[in-house]
Amino acid sequence: MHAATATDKPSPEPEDERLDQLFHALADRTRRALLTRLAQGDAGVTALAEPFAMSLPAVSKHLRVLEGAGLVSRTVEGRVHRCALETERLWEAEQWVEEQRRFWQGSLDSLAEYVEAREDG
Amino acid sequence: MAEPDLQQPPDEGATVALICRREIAAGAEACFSAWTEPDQVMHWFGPPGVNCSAAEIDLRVGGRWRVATEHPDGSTLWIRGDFELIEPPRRLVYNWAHEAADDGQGPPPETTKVSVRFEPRATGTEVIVVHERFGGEAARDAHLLGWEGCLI
Repeated sequence: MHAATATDKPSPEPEDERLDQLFHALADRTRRALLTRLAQGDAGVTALAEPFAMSLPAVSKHLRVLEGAGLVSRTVEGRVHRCALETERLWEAEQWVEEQRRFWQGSLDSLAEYVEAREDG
Repeated sequence: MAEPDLQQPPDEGATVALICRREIAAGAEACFSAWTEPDQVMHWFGPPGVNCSAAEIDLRVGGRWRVATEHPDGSTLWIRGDFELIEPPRRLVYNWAHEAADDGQGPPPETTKVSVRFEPRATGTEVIVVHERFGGEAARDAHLLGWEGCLI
C-alpha cells in the first residue's frame, strides 16, 4: 500500500462512482458523528477524537475516508491539523435523496390518479 | 507508523433511505397489479414531465424488470433491476439501477433497492415506497439496518 499523501486528485470519475464513495463515507455511524461535530465548527484531530473510545489513528482513518469523499478538508498549520466540513458534497448526497423523493412522490400521485380513475370507470 | 487494525463494530447505519407514502382510494390488488403489469405501469411510472415509453416485467423472484423513461430534454433512460421478493398483493422488493447507454461497458450500476408495501386502510390502500442506497460493496454486505430521512 502506498503511504497516504496529501495530494487531492479530483479525477473525472463517473457521477455514480462519486456518489457511491460519498454514500459509503456517510454509511458509518462514527463518520456521521464526526460530520455532526464539524457542522458546529472546524476542529483539530485530537479534539475530534476526544468523544470517541478510539485511538487517534482510528479516527484519522475515518477522517481520511471523509476527505476522500470530499466531505472534509484538512489544513495543516505547523503541527496542528484542522478539519472542516465541506458542505457542498453533503449537498450532493441530499440532492440524490431529494431527486429520488421527487421521482417517487410524482409517480405515486400519478399512480393514484390512474388507479382511482380505473376504479371509477 | 503501521496502522493498527481497525476493530470496527458492525456498521449499523449502512444505508441511506428515503420514504414516500400515498393513500389511494382503491384496493391493494388494484394497486399491486398497476405496479406489476407492464401496460399499466406505462400509465403512471415517473413524475410529471417524465413519460414511461416501455416496460418489461418478469414477475418472479430473480426475474428482471426494465422500464424506459423519456425525459423533457429528449433523452431516454432505462431503469432496470431484479425482483428479490414478491408477495401479492402486499409487498415487493427489487433492486434498481440506471442502465448505462453502452450496456455492460459502463460503470457498475448503482446499488440501490426499492421496497414497496401496499397496506390496506379504511378508505383504500396506503402505498409506501422505501428507496435505499448503500455505501458500496462493503457496507452492503454489512448489516443493512437503515437510517431514514435526513442526512444529518
